[in-house]
Amino acid sequence: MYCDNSSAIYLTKNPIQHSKTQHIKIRHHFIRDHVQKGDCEIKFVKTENQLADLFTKSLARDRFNKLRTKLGILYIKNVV
Amino acid sequence: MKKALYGLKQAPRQWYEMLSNFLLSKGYVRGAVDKTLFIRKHDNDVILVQVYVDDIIFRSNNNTLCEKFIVAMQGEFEMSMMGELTYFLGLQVKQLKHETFLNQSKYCFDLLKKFKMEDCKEAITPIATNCLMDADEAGQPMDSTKYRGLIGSLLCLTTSRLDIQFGLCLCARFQANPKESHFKATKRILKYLKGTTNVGLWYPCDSNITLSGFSDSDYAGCKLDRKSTSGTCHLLGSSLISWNSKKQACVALSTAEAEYIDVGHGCA
Repeated sequence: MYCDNSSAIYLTKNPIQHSKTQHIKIRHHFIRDHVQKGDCEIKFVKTENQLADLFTKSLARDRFNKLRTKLGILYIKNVV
Repeated sequence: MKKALYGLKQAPRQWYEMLSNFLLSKGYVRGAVDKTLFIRKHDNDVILVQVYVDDIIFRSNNNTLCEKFIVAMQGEFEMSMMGELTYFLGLQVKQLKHETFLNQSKYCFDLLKKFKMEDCKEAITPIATNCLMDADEAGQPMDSTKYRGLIGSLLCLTTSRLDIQFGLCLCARFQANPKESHFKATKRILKYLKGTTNVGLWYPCDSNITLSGFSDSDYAGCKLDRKSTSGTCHLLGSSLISWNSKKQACVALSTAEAEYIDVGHGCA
């Protein structure tokens, strides 16, 4: 799993409850169990390489086209 | 007989039961998550059968298994073989030697025709970067049936066009009380589609099977209730297999919290 926010990654690795995070609902801490069991690994990725940006923001042309190509959405003519 | 097939509400269930019993008796195993996927392992060979009511697609690494399946099915049911897969549930499939291509250009053309947008100008992106969608209380109200119809038709397209997913979900939030400004934003998606009808998902032949997921969130992206939007996608090797764009259910107090919730969401 790749995430572009390092504090969120540290939250998943550290099972300690801070005063700053105590308002977060328990069900959102579900990820911690999986990280501890070793089911998944959370890694940092720079915002430029964050592919999921396409699903959260309205992007400008260049970035939009770049991400779209990286996700494997292509014009038929370019492939065939 | 016709009534029993098409008229009764039990018919789909009966048909599924009959087909699945037949396949299970032949040694197929039902998929644990996808109940319409049947798998049969034979030494090192495997055959996969995907059922959608009475449309069946199957694939095997050994051709004799496929032939056996055809013979068995034709013996039991009245079945016609359509040959290589080119069209399934509205998805056009193009199979080449080392890659597979999925698109919905036919549906896209029909959609543009239905909303009389065949001759519109093309847009480069589905949604404007400065587009701040809000309730627009003072705006000109519009016909909500038409708006919902458009949103629904576009939602069908997201099976292969994930590039419009975010913009569409944003527009879909205003279905209860649509205004002209919302309709204009939705029409921009159609304009974008006009320029990109021939775009589709591309799956290369790849032996790399590492699963990687990406998760991202837009902190307080929704202007109405300040909730964040989370987006996740999963790639197997270099081919995209699942994606998601959803407004989070609770209000996050920081970017870290929004991202944290999103990572958990993407992992589930």
